[in-house]
Amino acid sequence: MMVVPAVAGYMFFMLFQSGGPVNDVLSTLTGLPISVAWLSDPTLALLAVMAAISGSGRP
Amino acid sequence: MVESSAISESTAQRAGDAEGKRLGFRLTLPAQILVLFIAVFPLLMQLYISLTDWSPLSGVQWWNAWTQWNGFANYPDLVSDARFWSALKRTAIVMLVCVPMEFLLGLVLAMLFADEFPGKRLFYSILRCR
Repeated sequence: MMVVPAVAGYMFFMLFQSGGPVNDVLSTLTGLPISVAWLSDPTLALLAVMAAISGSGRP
Repeated sequence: MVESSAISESTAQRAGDAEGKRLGFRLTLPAQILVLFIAVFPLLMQLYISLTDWSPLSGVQWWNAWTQWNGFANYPDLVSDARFWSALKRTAIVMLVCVPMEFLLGLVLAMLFADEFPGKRLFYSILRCR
């Protein structure tokens, strides 16, 4: 989706919260309580940012 | 007779082309000035500031940055800075992962939308939100 970068950033910021939809979907799929700190861990933050860039870019 | 008319026609056409080019230049002038201020001016300003020790906190206006001139001393500093190389490495990683990913996502979506399926127009509107 092509959206305004600031809006895309805020959208993905909320998606990757520890109580956000990403962890929620993972918890539902695995059946385990998952609360990954996506934006606090340096490695995971890089992955989250790359996902946000890929998701909000050209497609 | 035929030749002279052909010549006058071609000169008239050339004059029209020149007129069209002038009109085109005048019509795009505002946009060109805008690009000058958005892209060209900041680039030159940054190149100028990169040759000085100026800081926005120094209280000196940027056009007076030459008072803190230090030549090319900033560039060896940059090359010997480990943080610069680690930032460059991360940028390269992000680029190498994200560009193919965006391309693949776009290609998959394009192939999906090449065929007809129920609700195609709705999904097209949702995904192509601009």
